[in-house]
Amino acid sequence: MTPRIAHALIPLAAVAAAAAPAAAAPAPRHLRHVPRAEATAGEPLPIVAAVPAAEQRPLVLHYRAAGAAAWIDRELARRPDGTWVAEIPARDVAPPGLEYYIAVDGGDAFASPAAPHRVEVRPSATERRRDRDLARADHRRSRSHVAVEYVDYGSRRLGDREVPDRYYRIDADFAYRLYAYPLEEVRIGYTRLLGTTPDTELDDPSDCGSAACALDAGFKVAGWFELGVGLVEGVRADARGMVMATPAGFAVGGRGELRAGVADATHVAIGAEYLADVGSTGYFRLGWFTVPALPMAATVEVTDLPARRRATGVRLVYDVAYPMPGGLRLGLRLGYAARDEQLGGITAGAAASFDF
Amino acid sequence: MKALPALLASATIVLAAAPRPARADEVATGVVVQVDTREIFVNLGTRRGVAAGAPLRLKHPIALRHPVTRQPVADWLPIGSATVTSAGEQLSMAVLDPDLRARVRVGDIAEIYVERDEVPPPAPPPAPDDRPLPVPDPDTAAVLDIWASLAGRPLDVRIASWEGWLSSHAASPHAAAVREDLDALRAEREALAPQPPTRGLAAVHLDHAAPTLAERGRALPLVFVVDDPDAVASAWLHYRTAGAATYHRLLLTRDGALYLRGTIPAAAVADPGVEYFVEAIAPLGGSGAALATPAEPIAVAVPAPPLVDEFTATRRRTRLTLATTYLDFATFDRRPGDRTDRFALTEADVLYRLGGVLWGVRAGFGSYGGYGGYADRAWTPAAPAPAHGLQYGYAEAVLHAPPPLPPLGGSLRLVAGVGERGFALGVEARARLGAPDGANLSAGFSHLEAIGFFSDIRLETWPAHGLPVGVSVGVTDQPSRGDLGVRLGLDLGWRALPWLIPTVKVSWQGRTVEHAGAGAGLGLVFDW
Repeated sequence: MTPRIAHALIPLAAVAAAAAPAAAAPAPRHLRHVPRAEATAGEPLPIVAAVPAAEQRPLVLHYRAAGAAAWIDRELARRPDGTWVAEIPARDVAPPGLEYYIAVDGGDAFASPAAPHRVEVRPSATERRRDRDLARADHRRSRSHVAVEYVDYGSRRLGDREVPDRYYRIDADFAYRLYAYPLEEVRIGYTRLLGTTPDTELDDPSDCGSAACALDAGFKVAGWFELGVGLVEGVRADARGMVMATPAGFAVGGRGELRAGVADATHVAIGAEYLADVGSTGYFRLGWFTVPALPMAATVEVTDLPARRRATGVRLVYDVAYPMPGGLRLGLRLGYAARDEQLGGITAGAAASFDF
Repeated sequence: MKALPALLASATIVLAAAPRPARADEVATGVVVQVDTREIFVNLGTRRGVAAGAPLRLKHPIALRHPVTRQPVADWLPIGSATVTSAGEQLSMAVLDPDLRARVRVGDIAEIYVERDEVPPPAPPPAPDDRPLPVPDPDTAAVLDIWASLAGRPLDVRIASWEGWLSSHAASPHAAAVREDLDALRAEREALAPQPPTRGLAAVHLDHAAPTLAERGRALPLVFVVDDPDAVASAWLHYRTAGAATYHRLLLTRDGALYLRGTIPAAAVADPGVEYFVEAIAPLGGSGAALATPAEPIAVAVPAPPLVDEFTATRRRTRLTLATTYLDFATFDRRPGDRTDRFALTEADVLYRLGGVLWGVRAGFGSYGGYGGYADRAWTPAAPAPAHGLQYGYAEAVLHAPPPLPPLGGSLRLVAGVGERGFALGVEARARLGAPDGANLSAGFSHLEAIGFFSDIRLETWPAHGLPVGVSVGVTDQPSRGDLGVRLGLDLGWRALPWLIPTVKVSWQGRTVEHAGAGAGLGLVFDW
């Protein structure tokens, strides 16, 4: 079959399927406009077009913020060099972008209302990071937090005495998320840590520092201030300075944590805390937020709290939290604490925080 | 090539002007039956009136489908022209220049101008067809016009014409058929000329405001402005993810006279960036880079996701493992006396898979207790088997080389615990060949203070779907840093549910031929 014959074999169906051509409004065929792909937020965006002399007619720019319904109209002005220009004002050049088309005599000359040209308006890298951080914090910048913990290493028999080895700790703090990078957050808080522990390092009665061989340890109040520095997005270093009144008198302590991930969700963290004669702690924590609505964490802690004189023990702690609508978050803590393989005790705690 | 139409036209004029009977020259049609280094042979000879010096035209047959009716259509592509060098009774030979020779294939059509004295009987006139031709719609008419104009035209012209039509009629009901035909034409061009067309700079110029940044995983729309719309039949956007070896391409859509639009698919917009250039096709088929080049494409940066995204809650990233193991070195020891030598180990840990070089992070707790540890000692109430234990926690980093590096990896575990003498530390290191979650071979060494060491080689594999198996051979002096013993272990798992794998462990271990025993254990793995 030759093309000529095939030409004659047009099925009627193809003819019937013909669609009437759209009645396009007359428009300059050679309106020349090089559209921008992106613009800087807060800077005016000039829209420049060139039209051959034979096709010169008034041009109208229609633009809107991406996602908006209504168009804003602006007539293009002719410049001495023959080009046409209109400027989208700086206030309208905002993330995430804007859309526009150019029309002439009611017809589309560049793009169209149905298929407008989109210009991406990206915030700066810092603003993008802040937006993401705020989204992760549910746009709540402040947090009040309180945590209570009871740690029991078991009671020691020292000679004829049964001496408990336990303490409780209360932390209460207020945090404000600044997101003034690299400084992400500031916290100010209060800690109370009080306990009783054998007044000996290795549970040897002859080593007791007192007749009762029991030591009231800890401090009634410590105040602290903490800075959370975002090294990069998702990696954070917290540094805390503490002042406290311990059994030995005024003392200065500190705490540091290096964390990757999101503190309230999945993360990995290592940290250390120094509380003068009350003791020191080092820990590793893995948090995961895989089970919906139940972020969890496992912590391995090496510590001699509540008294530096005590032998180093290990705490194995499991945390689970339940974020509630409105910014309230409740948490539970369970764990095991031991200074040797023979004797240990439980760790239990609860926490609550409110974001606003 | 240009001489033949003139020759044929002259022949026609002569034929029309001459009185009858007159010369009845004809074009004899045959096929190329053989090609040699420089010459070709055609199945037309002196019997058909072919003589040396006769003009020869060569065509390549091509099977097409009508763009509207989809009926098969036989057409041809011009290859070139030459002269018959010598003619035999049945075959003729022509010597071709090398370029033309390279384009000729056996089976190509050969047309030779033949001079005849005889007047052929006139063909009966075709029966008139009085049926009115249907009037096509404008879209179909445009397709038919292009189709009619392409009869006998070179491949590049056909391809350029159809691409040009398609770039401005992507929504036409005929677009699918034209795309199909374009694929066939391009395949034909590849078969005829495997060398790609010369990629020179195109005559046309494109204006384009390139973006500097793109968002990962989001399609990137692009607009190009043509300076001379008549100089472009069609244009292709070639794009690739930065670092990829080859480009993908897509036909740019014509938007009015001056604008070409295309969108780089979201899948290609990945970090570290995306690169592209535009190739323009001229109406006569020539092509060239009109904006940037394959070697120097336009580059758009795609920022890598922040590290924090690695910690986004995703299913199947978290694994909870519970395992308990009991090993007895004296089960089969028949010697008299108390030969107690055993230990038990229970661990619970959570692994979070990050997926990069730091493939995963694990945190866990364990409890270890053991008695004995010697091959030839018998225990009495006065001298009981020594007891050792450790309550501990651990943190582990799992490393894995990302592709395209070999599948090598390892892990390092730090252990902190308390034993009967108080605080104790331990360490475990493991080197692995293979996927951390799949088949792999690994060798490990661990040491726990006051307990001893354990070293093993372990093969993990999935011989059947949902059936993980681990086989290990180990050496240890646990639980008392006593005599060395060997342990042969087998772990057999079963993926009962997509998120649950129960595991059974059995082992044999011994320190001597006489002092040996069996072990067993259970495990549960939860994948969230």
